Amino acid sequence: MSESLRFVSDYLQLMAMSFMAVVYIFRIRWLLKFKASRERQAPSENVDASSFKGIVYSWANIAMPWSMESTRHMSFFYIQFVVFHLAVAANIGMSLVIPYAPGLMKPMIVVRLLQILFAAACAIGCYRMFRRLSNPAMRLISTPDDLFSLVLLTVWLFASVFAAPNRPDLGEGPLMVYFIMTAFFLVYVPFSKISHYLYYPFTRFYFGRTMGYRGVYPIKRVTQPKPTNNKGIKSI
Amino acid sequence: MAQNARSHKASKVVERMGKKLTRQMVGSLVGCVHCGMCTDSCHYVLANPDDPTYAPAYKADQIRKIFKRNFDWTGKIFPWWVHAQDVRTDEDLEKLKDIVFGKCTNCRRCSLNCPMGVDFATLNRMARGLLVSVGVMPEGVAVVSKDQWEVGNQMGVLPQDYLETLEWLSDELEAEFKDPAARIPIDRMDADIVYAINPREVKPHFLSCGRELDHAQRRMGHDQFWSLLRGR
Ligand code: SF4
Ligand code: SF4
Repeated sequence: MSESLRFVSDYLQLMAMSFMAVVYIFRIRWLLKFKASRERQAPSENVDASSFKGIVYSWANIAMPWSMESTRHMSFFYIQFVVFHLAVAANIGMSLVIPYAPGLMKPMIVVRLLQILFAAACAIGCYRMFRRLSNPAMRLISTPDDLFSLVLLTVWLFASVFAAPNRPDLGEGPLMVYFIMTAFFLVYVPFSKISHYLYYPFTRFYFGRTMGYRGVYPIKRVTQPKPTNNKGIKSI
Repeated sequence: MAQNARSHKASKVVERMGKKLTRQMVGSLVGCVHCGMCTDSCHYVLANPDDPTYAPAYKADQIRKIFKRNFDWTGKIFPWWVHAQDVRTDEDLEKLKDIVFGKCTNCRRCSLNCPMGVDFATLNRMARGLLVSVGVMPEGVAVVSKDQWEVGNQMGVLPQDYLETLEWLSDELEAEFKDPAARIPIDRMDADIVYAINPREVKPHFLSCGRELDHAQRRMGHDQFWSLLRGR
């Protein structure tokens, strides 16, 4: 392994990661500077309702696609979401495994599974870009940051397909591109929408607290009675 | 410099936004990923499928862009990158008014369908409060609020008019039932049922409500009495 590859896969990553961590600390401090709101209305009269249950339900919401109408109706979108986020998490993991525990990447099955995951996520990234540009409402709400973040992640996932075998002996190009992109990604993330995972616990905490307090969360699904016509006869 | 370019009302809105922001609101302002999952959950979108400006995320962005331009670091430094934009003129406030009062009922359906838990209704409520604080609100809201504060009910019915209407209704009831006791009691102290009228019912629904209660009392027999609370 050349000195340059050693540098980009090790020191550069550590520098980028430290930078990201410092910015995140400032960001959390900034968020915590705003006062926490309190509930002003009377709590739900349902004795089972509680803010705590609401918070737990809200946090668990991500793993319960049946809990939201949007994910129930758009199950394909939910599957995409899971694959895409798993791939990003695995990709970040790989950037640590390659320099510090390369043995974990030795079995070919691991490499192939990761490549399949990255390739699937890359295809999802392309589809999401298409959706963002073709749907009028999506186009209207998309900022340059939204578009750039999506392109950045998609290209990074594409690069990781070629970096996964970790074979610098066959040419260092794919690994160099992968690690430079990872470092850029880590530096850019705190300033972009990609840092939404940092806010996720906060937004879901407060929303869950409010909804739990008011007895809305956990959502109880009731079987809807069949609609009837005005003669009281059930429609088919 | 930027502050000087704002109208007086716009400056006040931005200044008061800084004071009103809570952690919950800031989380919802920075947490939206513009995924569009909430779009189809909004009844305004369902009623106007060809108009993307009804999308909850777009409506929230009209508040978000002011926040980003004035309180968030990326929006302050690279406003175009994150669609941050200041509110400068009274016309800008009028446009915001049309969105926060006219395009959202604060029902929270979008939030219940948002994977991030972005609470748009809370943001919308804040924006309404900010606009009202500088006198920007729909005329109907302004009128009923003024009536509520000054007269005690949204319909602007003066106490004297109210009591006179009750008298007139009592006369009608008495004639209808041919019973001198069929009168609408007001502020009666020994009543079993107290009917405190909803301010909006003072005008349109009053007649039917008063009659229904009187019928109810007749069905219950005269052991139980109801009384109308004059209230304010
Ligand atoms: S679902 Fe939530 S995160 Fe997605 S666009 Fe709507 S408000 Fe934003
Ligand atoms: S809270 Fe407003 S934007 Fe959200 S679904 Fe209800 S009406 Fe639509």
